[in-house]
Amino acid sequence: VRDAATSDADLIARIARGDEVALGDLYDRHAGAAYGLALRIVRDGSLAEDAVQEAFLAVWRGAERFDAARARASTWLLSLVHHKAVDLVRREQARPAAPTDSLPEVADDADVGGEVVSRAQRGEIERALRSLSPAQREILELAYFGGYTQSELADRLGEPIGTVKSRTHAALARLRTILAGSGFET
Amino acid sequence: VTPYTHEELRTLASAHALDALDAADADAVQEHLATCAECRAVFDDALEAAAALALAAPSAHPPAALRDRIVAAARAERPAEAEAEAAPAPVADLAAARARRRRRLFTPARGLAAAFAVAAVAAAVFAVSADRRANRLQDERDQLAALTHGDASVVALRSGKTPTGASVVVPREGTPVLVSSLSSAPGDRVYQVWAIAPTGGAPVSLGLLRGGGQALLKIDRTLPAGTTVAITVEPGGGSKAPTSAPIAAAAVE
Repeated sequence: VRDAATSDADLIARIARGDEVALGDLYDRHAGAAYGLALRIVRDGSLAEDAVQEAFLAVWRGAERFDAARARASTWLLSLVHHKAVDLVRREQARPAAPTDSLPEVADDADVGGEVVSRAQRGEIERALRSLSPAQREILELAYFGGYTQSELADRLGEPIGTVKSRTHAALARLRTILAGSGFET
Repeated sequence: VTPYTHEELRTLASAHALDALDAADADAVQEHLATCAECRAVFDDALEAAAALALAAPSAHPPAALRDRIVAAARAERPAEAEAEAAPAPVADLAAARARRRRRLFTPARGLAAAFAVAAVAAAVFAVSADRRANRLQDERDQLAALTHGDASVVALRSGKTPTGASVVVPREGTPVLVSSLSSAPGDRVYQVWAIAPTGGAPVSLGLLRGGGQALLKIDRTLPAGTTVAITVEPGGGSKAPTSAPIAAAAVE
């Protein structure tokens, strides 16, 4: 359960001073989201653990140089998890058959891993995703969770690379606009 | 030279935030982000949107042991470094230092660590400090990877054939860094770091270092392949142009 008085940024500052307890606290807050994300990409429990471990250790090593003005701590952590997970998938060449389902269902249990994603936040994300066109949802799904590069997507979808690039940009920009309009904060 | 216009690069910044660009495009975007605040803002926004996407993945309970493993691994990293800082390299530690290096070769930062291990073996007398450098570099590489989504190459600055304890880390994407464990500069002098373009021309100052400990100097410019990075000893405050012969130099690959 979150101690609201301590922000993620405070924890990062303590981690920068070598505070292991703060690292554990950050883990307790975000492990559920981090592991869920990694699992969704690598689809293998042990690889997902590797991605999460590497991401938290990168936080441990890089905390003193984290720039809070540039990104939220949770954004940084999740981008690390994503980067490590995609790396693993590409390195293993073990990418499973492309998911044919839509973007993941929003979990009912908002308290997995003691994380701080509220039910309201998840509702906003789900609503924002639903308001994208099916083609926009598909391209975000394949790029972000499938680990496909833009040229792989062009092959897979049978579309010109230019179309893939502009659609990816438009989809993410629209998602951003909708979430900003609803006051969503990660 | 990038084949893309500013408009095209701004479009690609979104996919870069999703880790979805092919390598050459990722390079082009990263290079552009270093100099374009507008596209950096697009990228930062896209990264926030990507984080929201991440939260759409169902949360899942990791095995309980993962937390302990992460905290233990973190603990194992810091004290080793603190110890190395405190104690100069006794000869008896060389074997342990080598063993640590060998282990590190199997980490994800393999290319970087291996590059450093080679430099360290070439100068066994510097083995422990080089090992410490590798630690720092690995940290730096991870941090750069976080912000730049890229790998890094390392070039050791040499005096003749001897490594000097200074290296340039050039991430495939993002800001280069000079890592130094040079001993203190003599008297009230300083080390000054210079870049000389592949095509020659006047050396451009990249910054000053005092030496006498671990230091990182961020380099606020790109270093194209063939650029020579050199260090001279200059009067305190630095010089507008080198006033002495380089004590260390290397060409960026």
